[in-house]
Amino acid sequence: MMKRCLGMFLAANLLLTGCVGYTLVKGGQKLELGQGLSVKPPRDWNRRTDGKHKVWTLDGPRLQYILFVKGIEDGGRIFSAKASRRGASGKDTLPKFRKGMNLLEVGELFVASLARRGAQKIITAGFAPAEFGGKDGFRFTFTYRTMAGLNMRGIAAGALLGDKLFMVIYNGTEEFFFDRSKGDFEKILASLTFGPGS
Amino acid sequence: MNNTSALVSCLAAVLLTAACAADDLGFYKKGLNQGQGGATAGMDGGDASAYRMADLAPSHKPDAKSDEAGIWLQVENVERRVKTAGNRMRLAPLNAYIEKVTCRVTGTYCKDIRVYAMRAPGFNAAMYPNGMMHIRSGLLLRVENEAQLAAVIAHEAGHYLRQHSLKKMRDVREKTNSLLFFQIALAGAGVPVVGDIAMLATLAVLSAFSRNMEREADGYGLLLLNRAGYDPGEAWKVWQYLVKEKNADKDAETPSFFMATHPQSKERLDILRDLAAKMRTPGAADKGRERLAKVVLPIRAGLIRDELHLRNFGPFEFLMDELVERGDNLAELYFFKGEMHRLRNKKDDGPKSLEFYAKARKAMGTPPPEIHRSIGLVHQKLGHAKDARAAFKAYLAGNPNAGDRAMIKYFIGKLGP
Repeated sequence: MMKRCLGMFLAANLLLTGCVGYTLVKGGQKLELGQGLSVKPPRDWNRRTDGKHKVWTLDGPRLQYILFVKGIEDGGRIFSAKASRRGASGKDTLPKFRKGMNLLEVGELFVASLARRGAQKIITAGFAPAEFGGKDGFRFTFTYRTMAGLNMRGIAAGALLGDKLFMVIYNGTEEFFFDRSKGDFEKILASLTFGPGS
Repeated sequence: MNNTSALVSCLAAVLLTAACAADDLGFYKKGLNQGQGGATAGMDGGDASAYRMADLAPSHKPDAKSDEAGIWLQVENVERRVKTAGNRMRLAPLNAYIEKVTCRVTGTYCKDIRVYAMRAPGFNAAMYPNGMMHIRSGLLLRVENEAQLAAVIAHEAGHYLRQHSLKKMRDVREKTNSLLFFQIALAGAGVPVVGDIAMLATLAVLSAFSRNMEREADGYGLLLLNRAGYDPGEAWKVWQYLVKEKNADKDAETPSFFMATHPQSKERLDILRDLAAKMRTPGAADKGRERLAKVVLPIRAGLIRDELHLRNFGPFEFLMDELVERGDNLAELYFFKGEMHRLRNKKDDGPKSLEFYAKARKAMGTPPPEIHRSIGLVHQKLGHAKDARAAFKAYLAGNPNAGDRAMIKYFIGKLGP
């Protein structure tokens, strides 16, 4: 009974975790991301939905990805529940965004979230005000080491608009992949706009 | 049966399995009676003591044709991954210190046991059949002295010497495929797992050491501790602390393999305490508080921050209060109590955080340099523009290369002249 039960439990988990499908994002075309956000990537990317967020990648998310965090509200999380480490009850234990956080606290939330996902030696730098889709926002760079011992590098940009947090996070291996798509990411970020009324 | 009901049935089965292992307190008592021979009781392996250690000879290697050799091969794969893991602590003084303590308690088995300190919050230690042991950095933060650290190492070494680790891994291998085996073996070290941690924790419980194995390891731990001249009366305090911290966790959301696989009971604590009192030999009184502090205090702030990242404020507050009781670098501890209130940000947390930051600045020791940034953030939130500005300026003056310098200057500008 126990073994059969365990088999079903594992099968259920595999079913729940195994459904990851990618769709193509066509380069050169304006794309609505939802919540009034749109971008125009200069080249094709692969896109998948990760919880409430969209993740784009060229070579696989472990090598590089762009994460679009589209207006999370009080209690929401920067990284999706599916990708996170979970607590004993199976609930998501990543720290939550809270209404009233300021930009520096968003930076702290980001660092704590990365740490909860197993990142080591996280260093943020160049945290500064920056325009984000034509709005007042922020930008910083970060580095960390994965649990598997891989050095990663990234750029986070975002804004707080009406108690909602918007972010675009670019993340890639320090060796090769970060540099290779950084220019592409900068063009995507520069193309980002909020629709009327946002 | 849909997925949810399958899951519920499986969890229920797991709980039943755990609950059916009734306490057999007589086991301890038997070991206690037979272990009264003093510091060397049971160590020579010649008698039938409950704590005999004849299962493994020093420098043990499995027979190449045995299933044990196969399990060693799989665990050696895990060990290769652990060696290069991003969270393996590579601080030479720390590793040399842990090796010294390990050798002191394990004696002739010293070369067979390799301890890896892994950076991860929470209390955990794990033992593998090939002699690999993991200690999480959260454990280093919690033990009060070297004797308590030695107690955990000795307990885990007991699992190795009695080949419990081999039996457990054999069990895991029977219940899972090789990928899951690999992940479960890694999870103890806080090294990444691809799947769902709750599922792995469930499997870990299924394959946990039996309660009698835990009792045996407790007994061995005490014997090894006593033989090495450490105070065996420190061992039960480790478990007592863990029980109290767990009780402070209102949400019980923190994954803890150690608590899941090491059942606690008041009886167990009482027996460990009695056993220690009875077996203690003259001279077994070393606690080594300063030796541990010398290694841990320089890295303690980072370890506390790891705990804070969990945002699990109940156990965090309990841990901070315990550390305050111990009294080392109070300025650092009050700062982190302030951080806890600032990050929790419930009613009255703002003023409370300011109280702790003020205490930190007056207390013995040195608060982390970012204290002024934190003070500024709280004042800003409370609408104290003048105080916020002054704190941010103090932060920039003390941290000219701060990574958030531009943002802090922007905040100062927004706060007005």
